[in-house]
Amino acid sequence: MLTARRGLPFAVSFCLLAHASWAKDTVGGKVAISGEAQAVCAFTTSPSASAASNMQLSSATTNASTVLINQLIEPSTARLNPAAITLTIKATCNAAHQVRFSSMRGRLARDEQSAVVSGVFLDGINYKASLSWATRELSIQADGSPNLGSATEDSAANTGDLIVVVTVDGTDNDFSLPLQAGGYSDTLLIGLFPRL
Amino acid sequence: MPQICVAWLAFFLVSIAFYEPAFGGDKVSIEIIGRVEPQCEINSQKRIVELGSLLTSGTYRFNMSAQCNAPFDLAVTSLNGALKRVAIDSGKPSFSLALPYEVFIVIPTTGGDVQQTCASAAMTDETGCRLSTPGDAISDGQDGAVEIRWHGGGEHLQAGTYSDDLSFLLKPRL
Repeated sequence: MLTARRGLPFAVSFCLLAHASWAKDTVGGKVAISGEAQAVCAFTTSPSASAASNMQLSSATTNASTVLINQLIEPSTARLNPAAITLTIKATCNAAHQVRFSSMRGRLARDEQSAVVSGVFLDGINYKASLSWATRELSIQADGSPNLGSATEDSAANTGDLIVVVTVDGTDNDFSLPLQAGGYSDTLLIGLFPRL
Repeated sequence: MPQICVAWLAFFLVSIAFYEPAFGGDKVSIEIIGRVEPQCEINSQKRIVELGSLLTSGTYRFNMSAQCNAPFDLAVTSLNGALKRVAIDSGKPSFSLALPYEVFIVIPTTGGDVQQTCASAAMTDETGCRLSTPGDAISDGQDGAVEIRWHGGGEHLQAGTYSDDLSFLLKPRL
């Protein structure tokens, strides 16, 4: 009996210890998840004209827009009229990026061949265009020079208004000369490109 | 451990049997209890999950199974409460540096599938996203699933890599 009395407390306490350990059992694991936000630049709205003088925004989408000069010449003299427009486009770039601004034809060039018997006429219209984006300013003096354009790098993400101002005035053109009849046009390219 | 326990009890019984004739008429009652320890495992098909693009909405599903011979509680916690941009960058106020997401979990049990959906923002404390087997239901290791769901951050999410850690903790309920 002595052996039994000494053996029992030991056996019981052992079983209690084993029971206590069951409640603590937990298992676990970890899963690391990750995803990528690619670098993107986008025009989020089509342009709107926030100011205009003798110019109007005749069509506007986020891809392409058209600006018309209402009265290109003074009807009685055929001399060029000044005109200006300010366009605002909402844009965003979620990473460092490059801004590019260029003119395809170098000025408002005549759509048809020049046809003058004699005398001096304007056969193209020079203009100024500027672009503001965040702290960056780009400008084009569209005077017929080839490959007109400029670009700048922005080292950070930016979202907000991109503002383009186009001005036709007497500082770039000889307003004393008549303008040949016909159509005049140019295309301004505005690009925001994520830096690779 | 139970084997040692039984061995001691056997020794005790043998000891009693040896002394009993000398005392005659005495009685000893021995209760023998056997317990099966809970054995639980949680297995994920994935340790690293790459969701791909976060600019557009998406889901990512991977298998996960729980094997547990006792009813259990499963808690899933999120380290960041969202997919958080990895690079240290103050960013600009107009851009997001974190993308919330949802976790959907489904685990087959003997009492039917148990499932839960939780927002990442609600999974940062230790309670996390909690899922419990009903009553005495257990799970025999059949494939369940975890699904990560997110709404695209669009171009307002600053470019870069975003990450979070999900921790799964399974606790037998006894």
